[in-house]
Amino acid sequence: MISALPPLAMQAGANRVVQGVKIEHVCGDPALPAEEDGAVRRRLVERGLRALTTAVDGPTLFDGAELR
Amino acid sequence: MSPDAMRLIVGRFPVHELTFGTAAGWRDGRLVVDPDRVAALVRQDRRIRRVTVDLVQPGEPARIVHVRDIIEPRVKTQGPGHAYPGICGHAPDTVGAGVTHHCAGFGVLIASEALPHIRRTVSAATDSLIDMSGPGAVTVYSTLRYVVLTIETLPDLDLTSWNDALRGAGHRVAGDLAELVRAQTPPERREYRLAPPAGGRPRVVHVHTLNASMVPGIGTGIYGYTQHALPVLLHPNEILDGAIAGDAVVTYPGKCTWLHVNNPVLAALYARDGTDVAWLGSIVSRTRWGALQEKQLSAYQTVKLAAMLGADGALVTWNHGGNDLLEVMMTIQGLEQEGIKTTFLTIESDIKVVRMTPALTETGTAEPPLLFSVPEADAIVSTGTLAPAEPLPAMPRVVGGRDVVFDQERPDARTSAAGPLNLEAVSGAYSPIFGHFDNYGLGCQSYLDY
Repeated sequence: MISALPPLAMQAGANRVVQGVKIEHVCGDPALPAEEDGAVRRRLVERGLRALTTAVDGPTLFDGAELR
Repeated sequence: MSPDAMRLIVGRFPVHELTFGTAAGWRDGRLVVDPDRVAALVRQDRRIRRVTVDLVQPGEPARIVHVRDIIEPRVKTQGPGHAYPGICGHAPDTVGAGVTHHCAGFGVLIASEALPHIRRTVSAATDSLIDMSGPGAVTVYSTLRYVVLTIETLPDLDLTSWNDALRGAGHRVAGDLAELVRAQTPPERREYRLAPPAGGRPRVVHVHTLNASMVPGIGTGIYGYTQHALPVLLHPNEILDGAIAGDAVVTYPGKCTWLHVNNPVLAALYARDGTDVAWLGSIVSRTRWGALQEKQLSAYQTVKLAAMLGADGALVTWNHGGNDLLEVMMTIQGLEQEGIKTTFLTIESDIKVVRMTPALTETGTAEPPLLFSVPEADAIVSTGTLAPAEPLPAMPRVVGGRDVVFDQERPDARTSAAGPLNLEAVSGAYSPIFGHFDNYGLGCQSYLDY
């Protein structure tokens, strides 16, 4: 689940939670130039796909820290 | 200004009787309102096409619909600033000192059906109602006397212009009625000031979280400032002088202008200040930020302010619902981790209309009462739940409009406001009874009523 508010999603029991941008626009940022907005969207989708293929044993946040 | 210098004398003029007449004035609890004068004041704004002026009293078989805001007439007779500062052309001078007179148990009620384009763009501009008698008369708003201004504006006003027109009219009338008591001697006077913290009394702060609208230009304002901003410390007397005021769009009662100058939390804390607690003031933190990081920042700065004030305890309140609870709960968590004990005052079941039957009061529902919580929030006082158990009966008198629209997606699906109204069947996210969403404990229902 891509969520602007991961603490809420995780408390509700969502197992794989990706940190989205903000409530008004979860999966992108219209304030950015189209190209950068596209990059944000791509990063979120790729992170979501990576989350889907990762085994978890409870609500887990995928905020990019797992890449470092 | 030192807190001790902030002394406010409030002169209370109760309104026990309300009538129309040509000799407007207040005398011995009887308020006489000149309807022609009121209508002329409303029509000063060319954006307003038509106005009807009605008086509505508690106990009447009457229903008021399209409630946009309620304003209690207040006027500063001494001291700096203007009651309800920062809005409707009033200067933003700091208020809270001097003398203020007000009409109590009374409000100027702005009623206006949401324009179709506003109904579609502002989800919170839904329809609301106040029943003055019967099973729907369960909130404090059924106990007040009203001058109701039913206003029809030009049909093409944009959101901020519509709000300006309606709110300006309400405040012109409220200000004019307040002038009737300016020069009189109030039958009741009370001095409000914070006692200097002393004697080892626990230092308590009110964390007064207030929704800021995601729609620019409307919502609850602090001296008229409606946008999201980092927390600010208010002296309670500023709030008594109207520093927190609502718009004339959103129908959430948590932003009602009448509520904020009559907030029972302020009365409760003033009753304890100087006896068994030392009240340090009200930190106003805005809620409903769009990004998690903004919610975190607001919560952390609120905690920091409380810690810098040397608070031992915090009474945390909120005036809204939904995702605002995240920053409220993160604030409670941070305060507790800082060693500041918290109590949270809240409605249960913050969004959904849950039909509260006698059986459910014993067993509860399967729904979590709050959308989000933290383990540190271990002292919570409930102000009750939302929904009426029975449908509202037909009302012989309807003021404020003729029809109501309960589904904002279908503005053409109109229901006669005269009823009967099965609210559970027709309402969506929350109760259309104005004031039912009561985060401060103003309600008239008790456990026994449920």
